[in-house]
Amino acid sequence: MAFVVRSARVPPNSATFEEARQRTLEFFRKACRSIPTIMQIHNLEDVVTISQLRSTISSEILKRAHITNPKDPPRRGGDSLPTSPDGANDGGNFIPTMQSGAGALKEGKTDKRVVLFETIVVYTTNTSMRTTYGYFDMVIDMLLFKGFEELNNILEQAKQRHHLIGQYVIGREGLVQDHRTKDQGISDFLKNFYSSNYF
Amino acid sequence: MGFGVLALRASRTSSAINRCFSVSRIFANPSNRHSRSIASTPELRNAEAAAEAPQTQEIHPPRTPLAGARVHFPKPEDAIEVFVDGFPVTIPKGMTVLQACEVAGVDIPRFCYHSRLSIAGNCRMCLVEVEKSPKPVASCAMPALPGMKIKTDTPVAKKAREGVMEFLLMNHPLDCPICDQGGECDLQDQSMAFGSDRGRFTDVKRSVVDKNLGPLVKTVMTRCIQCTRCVRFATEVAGVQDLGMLGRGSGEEIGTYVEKLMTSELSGNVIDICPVGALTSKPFAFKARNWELKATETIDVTDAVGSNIRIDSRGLEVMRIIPRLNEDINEEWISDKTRFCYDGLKRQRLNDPMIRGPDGRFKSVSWRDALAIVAEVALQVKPEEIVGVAGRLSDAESMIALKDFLNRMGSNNVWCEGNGVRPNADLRSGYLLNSSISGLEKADVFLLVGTQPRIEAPMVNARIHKTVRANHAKVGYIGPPTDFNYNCKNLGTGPQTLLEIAEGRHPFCSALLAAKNPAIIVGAGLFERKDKDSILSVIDSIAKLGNVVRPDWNGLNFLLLHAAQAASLDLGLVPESDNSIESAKFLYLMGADDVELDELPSDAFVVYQGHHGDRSVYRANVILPASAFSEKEGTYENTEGCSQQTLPAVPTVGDARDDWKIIRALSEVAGVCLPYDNLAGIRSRISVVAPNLLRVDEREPALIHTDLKPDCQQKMSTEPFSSAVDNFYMTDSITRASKIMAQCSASLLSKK
Repeated sequence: MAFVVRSARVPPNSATFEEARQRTLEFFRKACRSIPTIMQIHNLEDVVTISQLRSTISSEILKRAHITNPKDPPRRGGDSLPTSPDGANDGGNFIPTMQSGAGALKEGKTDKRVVLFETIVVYTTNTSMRTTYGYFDMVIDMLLFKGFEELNNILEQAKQRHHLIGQYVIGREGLVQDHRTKDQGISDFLKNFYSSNYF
Repeated sequence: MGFGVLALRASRTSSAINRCFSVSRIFANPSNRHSRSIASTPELRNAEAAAEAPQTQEIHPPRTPLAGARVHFPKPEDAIEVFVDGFPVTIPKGMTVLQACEVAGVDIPRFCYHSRLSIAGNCRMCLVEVEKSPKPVASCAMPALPGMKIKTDTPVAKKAREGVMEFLLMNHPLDCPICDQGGECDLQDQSMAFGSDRGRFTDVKRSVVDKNLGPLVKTVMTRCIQCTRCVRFATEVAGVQDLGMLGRGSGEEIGTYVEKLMTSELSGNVIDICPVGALTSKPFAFKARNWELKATETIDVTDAVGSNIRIDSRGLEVMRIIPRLNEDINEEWISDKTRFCYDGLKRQRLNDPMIRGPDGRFKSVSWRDALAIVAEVALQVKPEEIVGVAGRLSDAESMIALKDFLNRMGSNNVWCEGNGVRPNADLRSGYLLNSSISGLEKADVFLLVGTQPRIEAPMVNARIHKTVRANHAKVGYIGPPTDFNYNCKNLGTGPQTLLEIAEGRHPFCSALLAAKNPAIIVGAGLFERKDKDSILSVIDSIAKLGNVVRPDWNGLNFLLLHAAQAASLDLGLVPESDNSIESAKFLYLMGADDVELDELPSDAFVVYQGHHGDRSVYRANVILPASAFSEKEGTYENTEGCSQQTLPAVPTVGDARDDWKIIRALSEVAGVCLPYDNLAGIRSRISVVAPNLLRVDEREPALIHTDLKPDCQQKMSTEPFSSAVDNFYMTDSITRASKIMAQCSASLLSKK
């Protein structure tokens, strides 16, 4: 199974936004089709159902849905160009999006890549050698690449059962889930008490 | 001697000659080949000549006495003056030369001398030069005489120390890298400071078979330098004759005379007093080096004495517990339970709030859910059906929070384990060790009623033992048969004997009447008896008969069992009704594991707040994890009324919280918010109820004495006293979780 997916590499570039969208859907289908295998090889039947995993995948994708609606391209012209890579595109939510990405994406790594990527963009726009939209499609491509990589890791069992349970079954909140927002009207002491012993 | 050894010697001699030869070739000084001097400093090579040469007398500036050495003159006319390194010091008659040097601020190296043990004078490390004495004298054994001129820094003294060090190191193995004493070893330190940089010993080192002293003390007897501190400690402080010196000369060994374990509750202290790595801690063996450890000065809670301890931790883990000096409480010893209970802090810990589901299994929940459920149930039951019990290890802060919380819920059924029904919390003299632990040394007759201090409070027992040795104090004991480590007369087993003494019919009365400072010690085990009040009134009449309570001496003592007891009575944790457990619907156990829960209604809701999954957890409906004494700041009052504070040495386990914080949070969820949300706030609340608890490290004696008590008309039963503690090594949730304590109870108690 694993080698089938491995062969299905993402081509380096999506020419248009529509193409990137098609690829995303293709990725979603591929991931959904491999769910039964994942359940089997990782022995997940007793902790999660197929539909739960499918909705997890879709929520991971939908978490990045706003990337389909790109903001302004980097402005041309010397004076307003950011000088540091960190400050690049500070008008938009590009970097936060990447950082808040799925648990599948290691934060540090993503950050570095984006920064590197943007530096290039800044250089190229400065010399006005670049079209507008390819830049954003490349981000979707990169996220897709990472998605395939993640799927591949899972199918190859490079990621193991506890990784899956931790990342996709239980989620970041941990075993004890507190979704209620009853914290209105309680004292600071109680708020601190719920979070830690040391305050 | 075997052939192998001979061959070894022969080869070594030849190689030594070869080495000498090459050296002599380099230095071209063949005359020095066999008379090589041992002294590392050239001027010591001819120490006697150097001493005879006229020296300029140097006067040292006054130095501060060592380690807080104090001079106390019982009779001013007995003061004598001696000169230490030219500086005059005034000391009382009878002090030794070594003590005079300490007062003068000069540290004399020593191995066998220990200020709390008798003088052996066998290591010879403390040699100093005394003017007009032909040889260096052993300062620990030599009494200082008026006008004596002591010189501690002369070539003769230095050479003498160097020589002694060479002899001691002759048979000492070179295994410092694998020795647990490394880094805190007297031999290591003193050989660096006073030893030579070379040795002349070429023979085979002797080796000694290791002894098995039980699960606590590890022995590597080859390292022993025969200082006999452990032998003297065992006989003089621990009061057991288990250790001794066997053999003579190079065959000399420390050991138990027959194959036998060391059955003393103070045996761990030989680890501290051993100046080398011969006796080390078995549970701590190869676990850590002393320089990696973080020291936290705190106090012990395994009994009511409140021994001062130092918790050595590394990261999140308590690595060992060692004593701290406190002359008034534990001197410099601690009991084995105090020292070795620390592994219980790592086992059986509760780390998440848990709720028992319908299937009877516990399920981890969040603090929010746990507190919500507890508050909901607490608000549903009637106020008088709410009962709270504080455990043996509770600190004062959490106990006042528990009492305040229950009072705000409308209930006053709150008490602390071990205080029995209707405890006397009105007169502090009715539950404290009134003559103080160090004050027991003044007593000359002891009457122990229903208490075996050897297992209930070993440090108090060590004081009694010290007094018996020093003053030949008489000890009478009423209680079940047991063995004491001093001369003690078993007068009887129950209240009948008490009555006989009170009526003056018992032979012990003559001793009691003749005594100058008689001391009666009543065990807190009697508090659990139904006829407690009548027994205490009989004891009061004995006290009156023997004139035990006088303005200058209060000898009527109560020996408590648990760390929380004294503070709980000071804070007034007294239940409103006698049988509140039988009618309880909501029971809040704050670390209480020894409550009798058989009579609790089956539909009662039990909340267990504590740090160990111990006995009460089996009945609990909700578990709230709390922090142990090593993880929190808390106030404890010991049995003599001295309040002390613990300090956190390690962080809490898992999602646990401090005890008082849990109750404060619960009170808010239940809608009866307590008015404090930090330690300062809770302490200002304590200052209203029991201000003595805030005067840390100070003993607050009881002021009013027993004559105010109303007369008691209760009928006294003839049932004999029972022992309050069955197993010395396992008395609370921490020690019951400890593997070392389990090994001790298995191997040592069965032998007794």
